[in-house]
Amino acid sequence: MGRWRLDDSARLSRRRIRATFAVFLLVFGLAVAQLVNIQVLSAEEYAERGVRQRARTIELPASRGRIYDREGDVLATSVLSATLYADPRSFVPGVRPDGQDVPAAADAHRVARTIAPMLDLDVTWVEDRLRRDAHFVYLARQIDLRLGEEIMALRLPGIGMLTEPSRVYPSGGLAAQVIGFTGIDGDALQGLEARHDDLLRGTPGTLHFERALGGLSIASGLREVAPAIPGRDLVLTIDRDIQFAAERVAAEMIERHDADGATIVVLEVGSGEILGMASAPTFDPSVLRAEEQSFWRNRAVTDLFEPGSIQKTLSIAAALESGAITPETVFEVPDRATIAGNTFSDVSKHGIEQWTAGDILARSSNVGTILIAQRTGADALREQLITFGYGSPTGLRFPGEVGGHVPSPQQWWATTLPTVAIGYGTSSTLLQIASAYAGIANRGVMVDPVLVRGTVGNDGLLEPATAPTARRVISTTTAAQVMTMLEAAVDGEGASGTRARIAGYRVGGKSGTAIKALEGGGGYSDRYVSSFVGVAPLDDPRIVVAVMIDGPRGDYYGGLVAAPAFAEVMHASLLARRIVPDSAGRELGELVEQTRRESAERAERALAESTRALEESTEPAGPAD
Amino acid sequence: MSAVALQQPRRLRVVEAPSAIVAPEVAEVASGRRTLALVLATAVTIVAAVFGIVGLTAMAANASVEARALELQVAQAERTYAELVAAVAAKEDPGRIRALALELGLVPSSAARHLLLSRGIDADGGMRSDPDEVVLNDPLKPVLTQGR
Repeated sequence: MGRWRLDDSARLSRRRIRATFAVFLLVFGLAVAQLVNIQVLSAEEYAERGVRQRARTIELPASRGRIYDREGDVLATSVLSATLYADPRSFVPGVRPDGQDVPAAADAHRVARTIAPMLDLDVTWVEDRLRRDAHFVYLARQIDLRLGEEIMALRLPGIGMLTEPSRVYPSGGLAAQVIGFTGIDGDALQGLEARHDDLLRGTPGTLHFERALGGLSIASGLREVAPAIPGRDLVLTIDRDIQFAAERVAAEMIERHDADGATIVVLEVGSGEILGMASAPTFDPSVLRAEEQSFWRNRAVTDLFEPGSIQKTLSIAAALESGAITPETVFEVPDRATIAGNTFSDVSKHGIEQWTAGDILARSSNVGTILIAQRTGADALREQLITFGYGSPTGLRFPGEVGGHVPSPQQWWATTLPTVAIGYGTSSTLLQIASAYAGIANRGVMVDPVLVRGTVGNDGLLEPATAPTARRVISTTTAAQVMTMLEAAVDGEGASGTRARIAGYRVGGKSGTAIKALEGGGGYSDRYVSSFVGVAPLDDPRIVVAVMIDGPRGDYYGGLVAAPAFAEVMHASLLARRIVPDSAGRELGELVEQTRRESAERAERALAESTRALEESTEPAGPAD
Repeated sequence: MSAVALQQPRRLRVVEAPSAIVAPEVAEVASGRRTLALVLATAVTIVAAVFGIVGLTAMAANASVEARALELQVAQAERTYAELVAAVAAKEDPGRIRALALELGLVPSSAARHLLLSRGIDADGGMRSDPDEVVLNDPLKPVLTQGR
């Protein structure tokens, strides 16, 4: 009996052992299978899932390239700035998911009162933002980084700070219309910033790293950096000192003549490089105001105007180039002429004069120019104007640049020829006019104007921009003849441009006064456009300055209003470019003596004025009423 | 039965087997002390390896932290440089300089002239007739030179 029981028990045990073993084997098998699945079959997927949990990718913003003037002075650069934000939920009591009440982290009014003065903001405005029903509100964008850090050091609940690059223009509004600006999010919006955005903006990089719970990065974890490629720097042809002089004079012209606007272009002869391009009124790109939006445009390339008398130079060049006249050809010039029922007259009355083309240009005679144009013929005049670049943009490819207008042959009526000859009936930009004059000064070879000398990459080397296109527009002989006439228009007898003279330099140029067409066409207004375009020094022409003053009140003749502005800008440009005066052969001692004499005179004048001012300020006040 | 089986039994003779066959195989049996030494050596090796790996990992982490600190320093230096560039450019602003000059009582010159030397001087302040050439040699305008 006992033996039977023992056998039974042993069998039962063995069965249990087997069952347990089977269960263990099954569980173990499952575990192994899962292990194989995790480690082998689905290894990649799990690895990716793990990396997704830990890894984070951050975009590394590329620093935007700087913009320099031709001498390496910074006109635009980028710095890191602070952006302050708030989480308005921190200022209202909340309820946790488990139903427990959470008090507000801080009092919105108290926080607003603390930071509003620091940010120069209104307390109510800040408090209103802090009380908004939102998770994120901006309080101030792109403020000084140190101020941001100062505010963060206060450890105010619900207030956070981000850093972001911001564009700064260290010289304020200098060349603002040329350089343009970027928006608050770094998007290029205007000017060269927009035109060369592809070069300036660079390529963002990426940073992959692993982070632990709480967002801290794992020191020994994965870390891959694809560095951002900074944008290329842009080196302009602009000379900061010349640009400043041009802007200062343009602003002074507006103030002195109560004008609507003023535009000045300074161009280097031979290279086509724009040394200065000023438009007034101007603006500060760091402080954009909607009401100043009309100041944003670069008038020298976006605004068309009827050139008036400054186009007579081109009409005479066309006549000389076509062989219709020579410099010695004499015209009998009355002070008025009637063509197809329309009367054209000169500004000043005179009898019938025997004038050459040079005399006609010097006196800016409308009738004389019309007589010359009649010999040239409509086709030759039109073709020459188009050759000078009228009717198409200059090749600068500046945003918003326009090409102007020359009437097509079908649009030429009996009065078109005389009208176009004296600078009406066509339209062009000031840059086109300056470029045409630079072509004449460059012995008849016109070079497309350029604003960019080149770009600089990380290697620090200047990579020159593509050379501008050059083309012959008139012969060397014609160019020389016109230059002689331009000198006579400044220095000659009865010249209209005498106020453009500059001591020590031989200057040539032409003044212009044109009646402004009504906006939208249909006639002329009672306002004028005064202009002057000139070249210096005539021995070796280096610089062309074109001045256009829009709607001056009071005096409006180009020779009175624009010529002095030309002289001032040209003089500043000649000095800035260190161009030797034509009278530079003098002895040093003579120069020193002259400078001393002038300085003494000026000092005496200043002393006298100061003494008078002092005497006036110290006079006893009269009895009170 | 076979004939052989019917033969008289022979006297057995003890033949000595060759020593190589007969001699029992000798196996060295480790003593208890040696086993302990081996275990200890293994344990020490394992512990050393673990410490080594942990140490190396710590060193790598430390290096990584230092690298990041250096990266921060570089970023800070770049930030400072950018700010200084902007500050210098603002100081050089011709408008600011003119305003300061007028404030100091200076008056604009109507007869400003440059003295042009017959031979360029390469030293500081040297002046050549071509201003662009001056700029290319000017250490204060590094953007147009290689040494930026």
